[in-house]
Amino acid sequence: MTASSPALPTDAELQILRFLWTRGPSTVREVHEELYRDTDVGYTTALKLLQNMLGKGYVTRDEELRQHRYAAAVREDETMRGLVRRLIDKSFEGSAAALAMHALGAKRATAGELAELRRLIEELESGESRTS
Amino acid sequence: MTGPLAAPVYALGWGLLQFLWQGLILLLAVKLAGPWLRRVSPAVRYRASLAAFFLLSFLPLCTTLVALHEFQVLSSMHMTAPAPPPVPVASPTGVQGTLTGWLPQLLLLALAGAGLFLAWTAVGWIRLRRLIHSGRPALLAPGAMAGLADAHPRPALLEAEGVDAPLVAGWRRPVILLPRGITGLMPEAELRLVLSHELAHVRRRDYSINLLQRVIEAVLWFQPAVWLLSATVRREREHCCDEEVVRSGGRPLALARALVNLEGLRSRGTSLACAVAAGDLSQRIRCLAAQTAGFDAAPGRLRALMTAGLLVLTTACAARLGARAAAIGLGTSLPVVTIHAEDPAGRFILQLQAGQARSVVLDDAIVPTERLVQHGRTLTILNEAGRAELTLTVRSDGVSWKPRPPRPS
Repeated sequence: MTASSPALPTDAELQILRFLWTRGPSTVREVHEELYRDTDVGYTTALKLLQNMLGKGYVTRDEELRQHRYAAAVREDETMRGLVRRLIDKSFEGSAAALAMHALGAKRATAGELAELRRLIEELESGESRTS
Repeated sequence: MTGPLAAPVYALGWGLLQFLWQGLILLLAVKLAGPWLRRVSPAVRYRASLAAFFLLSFLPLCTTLVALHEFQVLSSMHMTAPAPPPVPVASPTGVQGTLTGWLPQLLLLALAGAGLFLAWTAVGWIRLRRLIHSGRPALLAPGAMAGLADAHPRPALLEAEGVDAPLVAGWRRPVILLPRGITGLMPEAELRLVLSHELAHVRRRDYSINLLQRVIEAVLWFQPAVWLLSATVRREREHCCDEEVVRSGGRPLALARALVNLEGLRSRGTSLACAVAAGDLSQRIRCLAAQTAGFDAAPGRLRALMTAGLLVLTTACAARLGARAAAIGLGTSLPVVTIHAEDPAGRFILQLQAGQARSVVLDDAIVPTERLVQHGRTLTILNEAGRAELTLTVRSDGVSWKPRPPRPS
């Protein structure tokens, strides 16, 4: 079963949004200096994050000056409400599924496991055709 | 806690405490029976684990009721003359709660937990119904729908957004939910096999039994044995339905292939996983493979009987022991109320526990228990000649009695 939740910022994106909500429109350098000073997150990574957020519509970019300034495009209260809703959703996630009978189990099989299962079936089938 | 409710509440508390080790014993019995049932049909294993689950669920109630009864028997005595109209009332002057003052709190914790889990289940039910409502009738090729028309009870066949693998849900009217667009993603033959697995669930009313399991799991949330047995029941249930598909003509390996392909489709999607374990896929495939080799159904009946016997015996012993322990616990854990009273004939002191007289001091002498006769709320104190010397009525706020006339000095 799924829960089709609207797109919400990831943890890293949320961190940047909090910075923008408090400090207002900022450049990539300002964001990088403040948030990632003592980490191994490089300038280009921060730039990429902000560019992704621009694509998702979380921030807007002011390209007037040479140093582009990014500003938060989503409201803090709305985002927090959305996150709380997602938390509640997540805690009740299994509740509906628990009341139904499913054709498959809970754990998703990885590609490797699937390949192995297919191989197992091939083996058994060839074994069966040999004995019959 | 005093009054007429004290005994049942404490009895329930002790009963639930006993339940903690009783679950362990029953789990051990199931594990013991495991090897006997290994090469027997999944239907027998399913019924055994389901029986164990329900036996386990009845234990707390059983233990509590028997303990209460035993306690009454231990602490009450035989019949007596009817009580005269009472006049004065003497109230307790001392209450001595003994070591299990925390028992009502523990019971409250158990009930609070049950409430939370039941609420979680209720929300899940609402969400499930919403999902079903969002579904639209699924149109499958006639070949894939074979068997649907004769299914009883007849399930509704819907497809919905947000379903990543076929499921069966409902309480009285079953619904089969399919992932949207599944007809385009799976060949007809494979879909028919998967559907016949779901139809097996419908025929066996598994969807109703599963709901009952969930409610019991919520109420008995603190006992891990309940969860473990429930998971075993679910696992065996899947094997049973796989077996039914094979029995109605499906090739085991074709079903295995269909399941693996279904799993492949699911892993491609972006849906979030459900928190329910319905059975490990590789284990199911191995079981299906074993079915191609055929399994040994012959010793099934004897072993099923032995298993049933073991389970019933274990449950009965656990209930007996648990009730005895709970009754003893009850005897020591209820608060003892001391009442000092006086009437023109003299003084007397009573000690009561849950409305039952424990000891009486009348006119500065302890009354031997053979001369204390209590029937329900009426306590009669006999003199040496065996005649009623004093008759009291036990109330929730104390005792009342008809005052004795002053003694001739």
